[in-house]
Amino acid sequence: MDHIEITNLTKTYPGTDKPAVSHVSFQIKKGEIITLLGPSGCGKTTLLRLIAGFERAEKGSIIIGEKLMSDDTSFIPPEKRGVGMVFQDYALFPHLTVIENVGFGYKEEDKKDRVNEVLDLVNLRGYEKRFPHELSGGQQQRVALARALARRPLVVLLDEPFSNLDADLRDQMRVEIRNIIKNTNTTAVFVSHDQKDALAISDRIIVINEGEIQQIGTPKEIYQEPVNHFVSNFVGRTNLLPGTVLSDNKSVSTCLGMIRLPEGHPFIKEESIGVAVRPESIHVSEKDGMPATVKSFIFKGDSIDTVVAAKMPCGTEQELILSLHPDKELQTGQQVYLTILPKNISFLKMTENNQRT
Amino acid sequence: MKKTQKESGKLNDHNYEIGGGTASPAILLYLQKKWIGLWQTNPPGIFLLSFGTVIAAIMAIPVVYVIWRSVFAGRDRWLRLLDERIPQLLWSTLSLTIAVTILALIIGVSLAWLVIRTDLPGRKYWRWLLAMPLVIPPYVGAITYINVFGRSGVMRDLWRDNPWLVRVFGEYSFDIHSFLGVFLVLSLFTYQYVFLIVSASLKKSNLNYEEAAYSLGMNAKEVFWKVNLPLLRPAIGAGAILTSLYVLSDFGAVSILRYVTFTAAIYFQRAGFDTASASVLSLVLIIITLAFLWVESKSRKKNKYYQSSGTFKSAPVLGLGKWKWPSLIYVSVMFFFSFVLPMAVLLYWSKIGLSMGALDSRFWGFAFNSFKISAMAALVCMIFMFPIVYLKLRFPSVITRLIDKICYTGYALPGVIVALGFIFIFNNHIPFLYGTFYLVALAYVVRFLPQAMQAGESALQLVSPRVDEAAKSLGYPTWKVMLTVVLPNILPGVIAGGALVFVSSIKELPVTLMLRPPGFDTLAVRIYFEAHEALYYLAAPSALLIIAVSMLPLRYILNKY
Repeated sequence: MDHIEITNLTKTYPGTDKPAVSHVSFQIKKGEIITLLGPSGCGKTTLLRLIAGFERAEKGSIIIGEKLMSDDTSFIPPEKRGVGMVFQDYALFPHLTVIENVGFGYKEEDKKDRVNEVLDLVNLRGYEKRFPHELSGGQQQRVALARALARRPLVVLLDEPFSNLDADLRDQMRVEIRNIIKNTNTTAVFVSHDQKDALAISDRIIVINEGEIQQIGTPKEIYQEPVNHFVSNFVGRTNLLPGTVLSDNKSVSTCLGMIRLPEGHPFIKEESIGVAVRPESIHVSEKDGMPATVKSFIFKGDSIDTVVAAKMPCGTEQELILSLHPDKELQTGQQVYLTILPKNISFLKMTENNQRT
Repeated sequence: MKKTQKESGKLNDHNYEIGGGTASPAILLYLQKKWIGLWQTNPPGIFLLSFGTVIAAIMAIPVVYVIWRSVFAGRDRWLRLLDERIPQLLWSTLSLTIAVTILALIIGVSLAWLVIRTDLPGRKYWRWLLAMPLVIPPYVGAITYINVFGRSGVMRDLWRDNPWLVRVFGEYSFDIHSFLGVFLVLSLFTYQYVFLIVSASLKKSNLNYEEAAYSLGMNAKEVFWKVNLPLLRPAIGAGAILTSLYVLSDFGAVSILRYVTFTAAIYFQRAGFDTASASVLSLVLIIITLAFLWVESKSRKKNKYYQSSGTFKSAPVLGLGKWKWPSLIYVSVMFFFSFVLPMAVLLYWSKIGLSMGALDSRFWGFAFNSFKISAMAALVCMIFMFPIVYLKLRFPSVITRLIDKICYTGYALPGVIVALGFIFIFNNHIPFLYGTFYLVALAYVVRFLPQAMQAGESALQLVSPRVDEAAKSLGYPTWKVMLTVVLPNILPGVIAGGALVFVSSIKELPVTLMLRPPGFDTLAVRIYFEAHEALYYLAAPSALLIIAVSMLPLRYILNKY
């Protein structure tokens, strides 16, 4: 039995025509960590707030732990849902100490023991008497998590929890928070616009754009087998080449030549599809391969993002983005030669969505 | 799935919205959807919403009742008033309002500019000193001016005792009980609104715009007219509307100076038991006030300026050069006439009063009455403010915005109209409360609740709505969230709001005069009557006490700007 079951959820804000969340359905298993990934304004936070009960959907249902939380006729308010929430700005109660914050919602008799237990879990013993403003960002975040976990919630929802942390702390907190959640076997739903957060912490990722689900899959699936242009472009960057499925329905013809389709692909004969090539799967050398001219490059520290104009085998010229080793010396106008590695090539349906993005 | 279906039936008992239940008919379901569609977030609970609606109703009913009564005042009465009285009053009221507003603007803007943008000696102190007259109620100011410039005032005596003054200046001819007298007195005690708002805006104005203008080849004069002044326009407009609304609503100063505007006319009609005529005049005054508010909202919409806050560079201080001494004299003269002179008069008479035993048990009785009803009003405002402000900020929708707007009815309109509405309602429908001091306190609430709301609102804006949601997700219902999480975090704002209401209530004159039970006198009422009988030594200590109390929240008011 799925732990969380979202069916056909739709939410439109007053004063707008376009739904913020549109016909969204998915299931989450007990103990699973899910990330709702998408650009800002895609509806992921709305989805989280619908699950928490801060807002009400006009269509669709939400079931958490076999309890119907919301549908057309019934609605359980947030205070009765047993859902834990960690906010982007942590939303700690400024007038209460750490221990009062963590124990705020816990009403059982073993309050003292439970609060200590959770403080141990997030490694905050010794800070009990401090007020939120006396804590660092990482500590505040751990208090927020402890407060949400103390009541043993059915699910804990985390809204962009890493966005207020600087890069170093961010890497460390990703690991820490994933471990804490896994250790308590809590179901967790993250919201993030950062693909690195999503790839690092999630068991599965749900990519959302313009209120609609684009793809659901493990981090690996999402990165290596994006189903459409939006996903391939949002999770990492990609080069998109047009192609046509051949009449044998086994390979696709592109400007690069013929590429074999994987077994069980979803395309039909003669269908126009997209072929996505990740920047890191294009190899650069001084002589062998497809000739290309360097148009621009940006030094990123751990790599050089490069744009080249490649002369494709079919005769046309196409701009490609590459990711080069930082030691490489480059000049604009320089001639280079490209080889496309067969790994990390994915085949995308060309829907209307692709044209838009 | 079967199980969840069953659960859902049971869970419907928890629903707090209209309708609910799988069996509810389609029409109820439709209404429920419409209702939810009105709100940005979950709709508020029915209890909170009803509480807010009832408060809004209390705030609006007195004025609505006055309008309703005026409609049924009768054709003859309307025609008679329209024929003579209303044109007269329109002229006297509007000419005074416009004249005072213009003079207050000139004084306020010039003082603000001198204090903020020039090297006026002691400018840091002047910024505080020039705002000080705010603590002197205009009717107290008017009394001191009668004392100095009136028919039996100090100046008249000076002329009588020094014949050379007559030879040089001619006979003493200034009449304080004239348009000119009222105009000057009101301007002196209202320019502070303009001064405070404009100097705050000048302080915040960003030098970048001026530098950009200079870099485009404009000279100092062009920069003033094309950059500085347009950027100040919203502040000047806000100061002008505050001043003109004050003049429209003022009863104390004009009636003490025996100049008849709408407020005084309404008061005297009611005193003569012609409440129907009073309601007709009130309707006209309501329309004038609304017209002023409409003009203000129009001009504000057109003038939305955003000062970019990214790189802030405060403007340099202009050297006054040879204008230093004239400027200093000008500022000192304004300060002298708006603060030093009235305070000196009050201190002089208070000293006499003290030696004649003015601080007797009667005096303390009046003081106690004043404090009692003002404290009651402040407390009720602190309680009423919370649900209104919470609804507005946490449950944004047309409904909560309307509730918030309605609560400003009694604040925007003159006190005499609110008092008239109270007389109608309580005399006719709730007679057991009529003629009790509770009525006066409730009228103060209707008059001053928005002051507490504004203070509470700015405090609540600093608390993230996520904090409330965190508490909710931890199992706290809305009312508990409000009391255990929100209230502790906005308490300073709540108390500041209460203090503002307390001070406004202590100073309040027309509502107190019209609604107080027989024999129940407050400090303000005594000042009014004792000044009429020229018993200045009795009035002055009361006035000083009111001024002393008014000083308490002054820091808060000045910091707000």
